[in-house]
Amino acid sequence: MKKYDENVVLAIVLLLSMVLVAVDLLTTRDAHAEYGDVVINKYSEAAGMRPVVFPHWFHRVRFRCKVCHADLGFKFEAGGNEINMLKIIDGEYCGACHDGDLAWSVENCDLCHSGAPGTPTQVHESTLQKLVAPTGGKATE
Amino acid sequence: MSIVKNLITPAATVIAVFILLLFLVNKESHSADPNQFNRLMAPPSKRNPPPTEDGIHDGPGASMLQTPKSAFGTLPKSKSGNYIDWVKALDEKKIQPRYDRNDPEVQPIVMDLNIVHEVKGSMPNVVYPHKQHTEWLDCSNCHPAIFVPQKGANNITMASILLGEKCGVCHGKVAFPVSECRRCHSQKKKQSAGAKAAAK
Amino acid sequence: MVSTLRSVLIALLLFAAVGGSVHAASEKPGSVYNKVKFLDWLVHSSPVSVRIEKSDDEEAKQQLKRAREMWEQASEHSEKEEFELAEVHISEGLKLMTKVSRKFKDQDRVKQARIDLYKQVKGHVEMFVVVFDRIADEKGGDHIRKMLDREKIDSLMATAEEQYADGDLAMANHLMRQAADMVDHALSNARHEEVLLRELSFESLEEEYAYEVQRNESYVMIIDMLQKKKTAKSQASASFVQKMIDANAKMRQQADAAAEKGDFEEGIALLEKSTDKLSRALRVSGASF
Repeated sequence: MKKYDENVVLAIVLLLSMVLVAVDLLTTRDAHAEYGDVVINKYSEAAGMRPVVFPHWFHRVRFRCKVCHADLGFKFEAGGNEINMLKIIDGEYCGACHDGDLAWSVENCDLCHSGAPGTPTQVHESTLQKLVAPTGGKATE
Repeated sequence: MSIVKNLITPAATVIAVFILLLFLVNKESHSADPNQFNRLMAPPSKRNPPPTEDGIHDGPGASMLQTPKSAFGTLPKSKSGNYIDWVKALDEKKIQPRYDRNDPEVQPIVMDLNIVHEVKGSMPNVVYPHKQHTEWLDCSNCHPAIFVPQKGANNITMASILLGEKCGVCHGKVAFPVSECRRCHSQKKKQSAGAKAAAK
Repeated sequence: MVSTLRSVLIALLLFAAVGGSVHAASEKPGSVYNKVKFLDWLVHSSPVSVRIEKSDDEEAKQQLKRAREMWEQASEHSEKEEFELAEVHISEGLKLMTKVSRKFKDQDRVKQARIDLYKQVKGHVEMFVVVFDRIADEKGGDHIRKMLDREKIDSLMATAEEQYADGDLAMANHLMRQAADMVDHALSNARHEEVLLRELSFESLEEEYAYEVQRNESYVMIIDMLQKKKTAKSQASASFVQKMIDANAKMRQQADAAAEKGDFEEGIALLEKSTDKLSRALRVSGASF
């Protein structure tokens, strides 16, 4: 009887791990994030942090494009801006608002650095992601 | 022998369940099939997923972020992108995004000028409205780096837009996607223009 | 028999464990250790910490000292694997550094940003003053010219230039922005509720051919994109789309050959026909127009 119990335990453990692996496989397969979400992974992962996910939708509810793209100097290009924590803490780029006053401040590391590890810099769901340029056309990045 | 029997029964159950699970997984996840049905149109249940389920978020912060659905509830809908008509949302004052970072009273200098771009072929001409764009943007966002404010100076093609240039700097990334052909190609050609094209 | 089965089970278990550990390894970025490391750099060797140290601002130095204490405690807690406590101290340290940093910005960068902004806005004003003049000329009326107070613009710009030369970049930017707003308002009034038609006109057949090539490639790209994203409604339409794509490829070659010989007229005619085929394919493959 003792043997049987051991096997049941083993079997249950095995079953559970298999379920977990299966669920893992199922959930991490397809990225279908919000249109316009920008993953920024220029320096993050190299510095031991998760990539940053910038949700355009959240910000455009609160600010017009011009505020960041004209006043704060964000270029219209994912990965085209030299953003680092020092500049943010100094009040440049994200730090212009994320100063603990207008918006929450940098101590909430995990709110911005919330990207899945290994995700490269990109605009999620963009046309460019879905596109193959014809041989006569320009190369895409 | 009873030991063997006792071992085989749970093992067989486990394997059977696992196979069943794998089967279910394959049945539910279409992404392996490049020719799956109707992939461009995400079914409503799959639209605007919360960060924890969107496939690009991870970590302890993801569950603390606002979910798109909780923000989009009352906003006018559209057929693609965020499934929100942002221009309409602004027009109807469903959202009041600031034009100045600190001062909520500052209003944009809106320019009400339409530029009609004639195109060849069966597609309608393009109407570019400055009005909707200047609600969101400063002149300097586009002029002169993306568009030279002068007649005949801008060679805009769908190919360049698709590759992320010209209108494609925003449309296809953040502003409504290029699949919404008719939102730009919105002006039926006049008879004369059509005849001119046909005569060529 | 028992041992074989058992080892198979254990092997499977190990396999599952490896699968699980892939997930566990992904927890590494964003770990408390890495945050402690960042705070360490920020309070001890970052440029801002050096600037504070060199200053004679006692209050700021006191804040830096407190931030360093926060790092020390965070570091100790993290070594004892008391991660929640460590996070609390990291957070306090970062808050302190954010506050004190504002007073010790990198002045070189602040200056450069102001210079860049000034140049950009100045370019904006100069460009749109020219555009405004052109519109006034086209419309040929003083009522348009009256919409822009040129004297005021000129004096604003001149004063801005003086301030810029004197090094008061903030004031120079403020004045130049006023000038920019004036021009924007004037243009907005001059063009109010207008519609401008940009007709297609080509300087040469070669130019028109280049346009046709672009148009053709646009269709190729869109169809390609749709094919990847969406199944054609039926086998019949799928094969129709493919037929059109193949026909286009052939005609594009013929058109290119014609163009190479200098017969752009033939090239244009071929591409027009060919693109038309693609546009039919596009409708079939599901574009909503």
